[in-house]
Amino acid sequence: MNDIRTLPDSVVNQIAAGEVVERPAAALKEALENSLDSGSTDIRVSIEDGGKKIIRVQDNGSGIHKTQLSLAISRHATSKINSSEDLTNIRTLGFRGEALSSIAAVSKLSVISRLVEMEHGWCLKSTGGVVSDVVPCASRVGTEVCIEDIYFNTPARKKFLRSSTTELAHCEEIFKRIALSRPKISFSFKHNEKQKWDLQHSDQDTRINEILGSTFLSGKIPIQANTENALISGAISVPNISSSNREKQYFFVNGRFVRDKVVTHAIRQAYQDVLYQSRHPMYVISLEIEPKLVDVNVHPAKTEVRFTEPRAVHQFITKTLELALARPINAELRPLASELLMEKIRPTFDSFNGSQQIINTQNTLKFGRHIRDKNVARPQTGNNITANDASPNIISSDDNPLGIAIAQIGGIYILSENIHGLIIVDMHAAHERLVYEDLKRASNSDGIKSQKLLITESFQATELQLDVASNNKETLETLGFAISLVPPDAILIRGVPAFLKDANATNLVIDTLDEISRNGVSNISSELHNDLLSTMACHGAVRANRRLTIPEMNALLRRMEITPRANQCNHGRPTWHQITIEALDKIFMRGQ
Amino acid sequence: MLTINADTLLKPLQSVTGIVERRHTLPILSNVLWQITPTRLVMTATDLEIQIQSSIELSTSSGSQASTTETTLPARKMIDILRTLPDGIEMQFQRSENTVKIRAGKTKFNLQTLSASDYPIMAEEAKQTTLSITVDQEILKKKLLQVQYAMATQDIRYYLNGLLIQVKQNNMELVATDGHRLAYTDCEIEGDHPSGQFIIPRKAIIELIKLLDDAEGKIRIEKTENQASFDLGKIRLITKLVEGTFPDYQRVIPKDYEKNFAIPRQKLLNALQRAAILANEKFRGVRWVLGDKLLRLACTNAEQEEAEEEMEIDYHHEAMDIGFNINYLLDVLTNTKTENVNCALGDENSSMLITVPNDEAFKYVVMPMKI
Ligand SMILES: Nc1ncnc2c1ncn2[C@@H]1O[C@H](COP(=O)(O)OP(=O)(O)OP(=O)(O)O)[C@@H](O)[C@H]1O
Ligand SMILES: [Mg+2]
Repeated sequence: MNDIRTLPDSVVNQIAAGEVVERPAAALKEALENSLDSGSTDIRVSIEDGGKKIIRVQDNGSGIHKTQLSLAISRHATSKINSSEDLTNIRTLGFRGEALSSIAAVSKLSVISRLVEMEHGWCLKSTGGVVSDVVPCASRVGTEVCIEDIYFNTPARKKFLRSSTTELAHCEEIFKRIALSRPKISFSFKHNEKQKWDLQHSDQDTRINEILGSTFLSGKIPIQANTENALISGAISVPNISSSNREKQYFFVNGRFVRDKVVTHAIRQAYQDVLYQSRHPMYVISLEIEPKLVDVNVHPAKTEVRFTEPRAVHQFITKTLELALARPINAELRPLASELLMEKIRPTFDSFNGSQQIINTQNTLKFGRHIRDKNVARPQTGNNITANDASPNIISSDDNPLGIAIAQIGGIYILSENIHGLIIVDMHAAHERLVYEDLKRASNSDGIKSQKLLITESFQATELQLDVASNNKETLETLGFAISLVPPDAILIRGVPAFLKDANATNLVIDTLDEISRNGVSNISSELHNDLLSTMACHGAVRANRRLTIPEMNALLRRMEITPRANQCNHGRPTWHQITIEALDKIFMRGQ
Repeated sequence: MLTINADTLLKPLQSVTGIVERRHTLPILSNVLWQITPTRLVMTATDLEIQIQSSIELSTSSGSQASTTETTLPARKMIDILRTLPDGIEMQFQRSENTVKIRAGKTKFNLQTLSASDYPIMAEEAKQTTLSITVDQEILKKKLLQVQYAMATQDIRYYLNGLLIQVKQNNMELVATDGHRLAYTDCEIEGDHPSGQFIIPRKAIIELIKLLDDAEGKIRIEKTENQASFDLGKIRLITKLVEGTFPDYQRVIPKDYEKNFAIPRQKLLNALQRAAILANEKFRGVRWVLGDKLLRLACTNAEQEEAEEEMEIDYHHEAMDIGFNINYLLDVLTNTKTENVNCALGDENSSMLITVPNDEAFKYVVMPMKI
């Protein structure tokens, strides 16, 4: 057996490197984070062969003093914390003093740095962690870190590197995260001397558009909220355009990208009411929180955090998102009150710009209201010669975002016309949502009223249903049911929720009992409660093939406009779709 | 084929076209079947569930002339033509292969027809009539109006989407319910009949009420296995019956309520109409708070706006607080015509019974809503 020995530093560093720099993208991340910590406002990345050959990060930050250069790449050397108390109050991205030494251990590293007050920079070169030289050199103010030939001395790791394309994709993803987290900083990114990104100093919204423009093309909802010691901002996707994977999810805690269970769950919950089953929301959310309230020292790659008050954070996120998602269609499509005021004050030619921003960022109705293709001959407002005198009035105002009903097709869809063109509404899906929101509202205020039945109904129940019914008398009562058990095995329905008085009472009760039993027989949580209401709402919604009159259709549209979350049914499917005049023109090749 | 005065045609044609669906998958159902003999014109319309037939006697003394033939003509177009022609003008119908030419003064129409042999006349069941009763049209109309509004509209319990007629000896009961409220009345009929009951579909009841005359005249109602026919002399309506068993209505009509009081109908109606403005749009609740000689009505909507009405009434029983669907109350108050209505209550969980003075037969039962 061999003697026990302390490992030489070079080996220790190589082992540590395994954790910190698992691939070129991880090295890039560390270098970028150091640049951010140094207070840079302009950061340039240039990599070759997906980072396998060179990763160069150049910043204009505070720089490293000549005498500290070799310290910077040695193990456990950091300028960011001093004591263990500091660990509870971390305001920088780095704090372990591990990154540069790990990188140095597995690459040919050079660090060039120049402080403002120095006339020229100094360059440190190291190979596999062994410093060869610190020599003067010409340089901008700031630091340039150049990582060459990563894993040149650890062939085992080198074998695991993937193609340049794959490694590049990972590097780019890291770059995007960092760029999203700091909209005020300018970034550029070159691969094999080709410029891929050039991002100027801007604000969060612009940065999101630059980086995720195509993702959020059909609409994002801005969010913004704060409490005493936390602030949340960013943008989330409208539920209709959710994604099939979790890729487009960016959450930052104090500027640090994290994947956190509490956060993910909180967001999921906010969407649960509006998102189609297995779809995933997309978001860029940045949470600024008192550093004392979050522990970042829980994961080697620092992508996990621990909140000291996870429930408060959870609630804050859920509530903020729920509120944003619940904004009724009306509110989404109309300029906010303040903007309306502006419109009135400003000359009219400006009014379009005044509200465009809102329309652009909101939902699918993102088309300019007053802009129409001039080449297309079409009766316009103010031009009262129309081809057909009997044709309905041309809709010229935005008063009814969902338009005026024209017809019903297939017994399922309502067609309506609004200023942008044609709207198609799935009447069952929409109505289901309206009933659901009614039920929720009632159950949150003075309770769901119960309509007593004159002609009672009864059905033969299964043992399980009998059990659920007798164990949940109170819950059922609060839901508006009046039910008694008639031995040996019948359930008698004496009352139903007044909202659902015209539904099939027996099926309604059976589904409600089944829903309760599916989720455990006792103790109804509020989440479960909503599931129940949602199940019940299906019974209250208009059935397909029911013919609606035009006034009935319009009433439905008007209610949708003021009902929260009316853009999606209870299961997250969209309730309506806009086909713009422009899209129609395309179909008929007008104006081409 | 036919010469006839336009005035004679309009009303009989209108009485059959009420059931013609505007858009039906079967085009011929938009047409009316015209069957002509030298002495009689019979017009028939159907929606396959209900069929109405209206006949006009033709005589040369009234200026009509006809030869035997049959065809079908579009219902709406004919009504529109008749409505817009000058009063009292004489019309000549001339049939050729697939068209009918109409000439009225200087006006000419040429209408497309569909073959009469394709017209889906409802097969009348072999006359094993199980019931045959005769009533005054005027009375039947009044009784139907008293109860028809309580029928269900699109209930899955399809037997509620109609009106029950129950015959027993010299009495006929009419009952409608949607499961939450029920309207009941009865009337005497001629003769002594075996017991029997049947459910007339909603649409047939609505049509029948339109056909019934306020003036004198009898109507004969006959029931066969699956059909009922209503014979008004010149008009005859046949309908399929609704299958299923009507709920036991006698059981739900309360007999021994003690908290009785009378209310001026119009005053209560007006108060409820005002309160209804702020009733919750969806469940339409109204609270009745009864105290000594006082009725307080209160409505609240989803926006928490409130309406309140107070009425002095003749109430001397214990205080009560009970809720109802306001629409159910408005229905009965607008469909009764008396000065006062009588209300009777049990407890907060039982129904309210509404009756009217001088009409023992009428009873309206409405279940409360827990507010
Ligand atoms: N671009 C830079 N500009 C200024 N100083 C830098 C830069 N990069 C590194 N440093 C200095 O070098 C030190 C070591 O960096 P290193 O990344 O190894 O550790 P760290 O950032 O302190 O902690 P961590 O290991 O968590 O990243 C830093 O504390 C910092 O003082
Ligand atoms: Mg670092």
